[in-house]
Amino acid sequence: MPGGRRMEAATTPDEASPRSGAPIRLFLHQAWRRLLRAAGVATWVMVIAFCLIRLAPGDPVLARLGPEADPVAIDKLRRDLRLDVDPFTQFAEYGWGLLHGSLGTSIETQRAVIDIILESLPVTLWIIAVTILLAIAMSVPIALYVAQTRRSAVPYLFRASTSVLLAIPAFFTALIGLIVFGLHYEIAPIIGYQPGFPANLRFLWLPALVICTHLVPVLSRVLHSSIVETMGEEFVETGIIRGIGRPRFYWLYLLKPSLAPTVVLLSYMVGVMIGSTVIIETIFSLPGIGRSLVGAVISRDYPLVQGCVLVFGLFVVGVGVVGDILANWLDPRVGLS
Amino acid sequence: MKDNKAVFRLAALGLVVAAGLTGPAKADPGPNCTLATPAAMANCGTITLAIAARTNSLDPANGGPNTDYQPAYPQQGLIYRQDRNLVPRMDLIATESASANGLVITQTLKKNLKYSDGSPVLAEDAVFAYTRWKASGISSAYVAKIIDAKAVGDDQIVWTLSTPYPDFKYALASQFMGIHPKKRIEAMGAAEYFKKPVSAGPLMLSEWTPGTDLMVLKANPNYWAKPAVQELRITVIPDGTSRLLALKQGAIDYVYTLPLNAKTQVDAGKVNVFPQSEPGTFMLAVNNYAGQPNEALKDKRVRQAMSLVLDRQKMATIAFFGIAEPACAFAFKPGNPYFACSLPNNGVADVAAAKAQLAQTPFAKGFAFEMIVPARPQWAEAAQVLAADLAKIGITANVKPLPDADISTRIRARNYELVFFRNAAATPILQLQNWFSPGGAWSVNSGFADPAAEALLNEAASSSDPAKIKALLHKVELMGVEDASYMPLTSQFSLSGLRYARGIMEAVTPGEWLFIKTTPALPGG
Repeated sequence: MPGGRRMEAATTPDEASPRSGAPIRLFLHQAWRRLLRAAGVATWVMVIAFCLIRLAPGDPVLARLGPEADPVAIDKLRRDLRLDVDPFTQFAEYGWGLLHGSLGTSIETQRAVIDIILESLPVTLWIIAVTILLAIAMSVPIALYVAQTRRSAVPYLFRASTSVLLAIPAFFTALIGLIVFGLHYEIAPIIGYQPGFPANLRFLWLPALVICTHLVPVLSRVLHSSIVETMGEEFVETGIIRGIGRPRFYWLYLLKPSLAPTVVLLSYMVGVMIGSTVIIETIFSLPGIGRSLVGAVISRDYPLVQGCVLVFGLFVVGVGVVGDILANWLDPRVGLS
Repeated sequence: MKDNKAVFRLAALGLVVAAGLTGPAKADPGPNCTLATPAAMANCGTITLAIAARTNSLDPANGGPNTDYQPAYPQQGLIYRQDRNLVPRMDLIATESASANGLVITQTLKKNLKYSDGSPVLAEDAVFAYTRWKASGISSAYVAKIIDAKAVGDDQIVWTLSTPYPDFKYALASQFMGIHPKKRIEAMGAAEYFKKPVSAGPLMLSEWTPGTDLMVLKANPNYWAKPAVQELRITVIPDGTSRLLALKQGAIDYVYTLPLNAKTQVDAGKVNVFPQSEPGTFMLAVNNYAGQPNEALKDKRVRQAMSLVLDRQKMATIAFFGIAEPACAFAFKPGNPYFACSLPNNGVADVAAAKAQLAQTPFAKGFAFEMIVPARPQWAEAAQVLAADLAKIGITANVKPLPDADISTRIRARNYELVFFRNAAATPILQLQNWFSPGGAWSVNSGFADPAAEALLNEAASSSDPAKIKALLHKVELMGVEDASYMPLTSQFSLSGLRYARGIMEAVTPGEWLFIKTTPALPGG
């Protein structure tokens, strides 16, 4: 990267953007290819989800009836759930259902998997959205401050504290958070999630804060490095000499040229976060898709596991695409491929 | 720098405002429903109960875990209902009479019984409940002695038994016998009907979607008695520590399953944390099928030596925080009129005797085996304590905690050497049948069934003489001790927490059925 962002001293970063001369068609073509690749990945996710849950030890019938169940009841339930047919037939039926827009019916609840997902996914998306907002709100000022400060102790303190935060497991932070904010200060509800904005924020700020204890250290470190690098660019000096207003200077001269790696990282981290929400949703009793997945895995609810994993896969791939497009918009030299 | 400070201040202000806008919702059962209000005086508004997993089905013929049938119990009609002391009491029936030989039992429903929607409760509904249970194959041992059930008119049920059946009332008080309107289930289909069933029990369903986190039950105005709880909100808190925190915070009023260290974590003035003994026994079960790969475990003397060296008291103290009671017999102790110790030395560990016993076998120098155990709280710890005991006589137990589903699969596939588990049942006879009668749940799992033991158990199950039953069950116990395919360890238990007085609403075991106090109370209860 050093030197990679060198621009004419008289220009702003935007004026130097290669986008101004680049054909939009190329961008769309690249985006389309990226989407096609994402669809391929999603298909593989579907196949892998189908195989993995069946290869894992455990049986949905025994998970439901328990080891003390009557053999007659076991056989009957197995027939009722069509688990007595071979896996190829099961896959064919699953694939046929997908082609017709059906993810199947949950073994445990007898409800359409799509309904369960549509009910629980928004909760998880809200957690992620609040987390991202909170993380950005914390990471950007921290990174800017640490990058600009002249106190030599601050960067060391910054690195040490981020390392410590990263070393603490999320479930532990979550429990501490519940004890401190839920029990001691009584400002965070432990149960009773209410859907709908803004009522849901009462239940989401603490889980989001907990996830941020892992997300903010990573984002602020990467952003800090990028900003430090950007600060060495000539156009930053030019901006200072030109006496650009502070908000414009921060955004155009420091943040925007530095954000691309952070955005790509954030899109990757969102994929990791959807994994973290499984633990967070369990501890905070939030009815998100992570909880649905955990319950489905424990009870070996094949259709629901497949549906959740497929949605997880699509989400991660989708966020990756969006991240790439955003990074490309912020810095056109970041390719979409 | 100035701007940076402003950003920090803004962020801090945002957090403070966000925190100020929030706050926990407290459960509020009302002023007449506190820890200090005696149960007899209590009149509770809304009680919030936390369970560990979502309720997926209210259909009694579906089987399913306790988180399904526990909320279902108070909203289903029952011929007999378990009272707080685990005694089945007449619920929807007013009278019961038996033929001279005890094989034909006639029951008459209470007059003017109605479901929560106002439709009448009919005898055919009770027969239909039995028919659905029998067809489901779930816990078939409970209904094995019932030959026939008939509805005579709208209010009489006539049962025909193959032999006298002292546990008949227990069977009728189980969750599988939930009574619902036959005609409506036939018209709508069970799957659709049980999404919003009507109730002939003390509570009725008000709000619920299968597989979601909240179920709201309300007092059933058409029930023959008045429940002491006007509304019951059942919420799901999967994590044990979070359940404890919610109870301490006051967000919930009752939890059935708490972490075992909860007792020391609560303010006794606000929360009552108490252990509940359950009619079940923790045990080790050896795989007796031909596929058992471990030669040593096939040797009865080895198994006897293993049972002798186990320090049950230590396991109860260390792994189960002193809440469990060390076992001296197979059958459970609480509420069991036939209980008698049967283990050598009353179950107290005897290392010298164990060594001497093992010395008589080809495995005197010890051996290794795999002990699978469900990865439930404290179960693996208990298994580790046992492993340390076994090491004293040179036996190496490799403890392998596994998820429940994996344990079930391995047991069913007979792919295990020895398993740490439990055996619970409504009555001691049913519990022993689980172990020793062919077709019993654990005899199927372990491959150990003794026709002689089965004959004794059948004789006990058909007798109405308590002394005779006790003697017969003791004989079966001694046969179990002699074979040592099963090694009883400690009593089964749970730790519960309440923010109101006991006796108003709580789970009673072994079914973990929700008992609701009513006025008048269940007859004799």
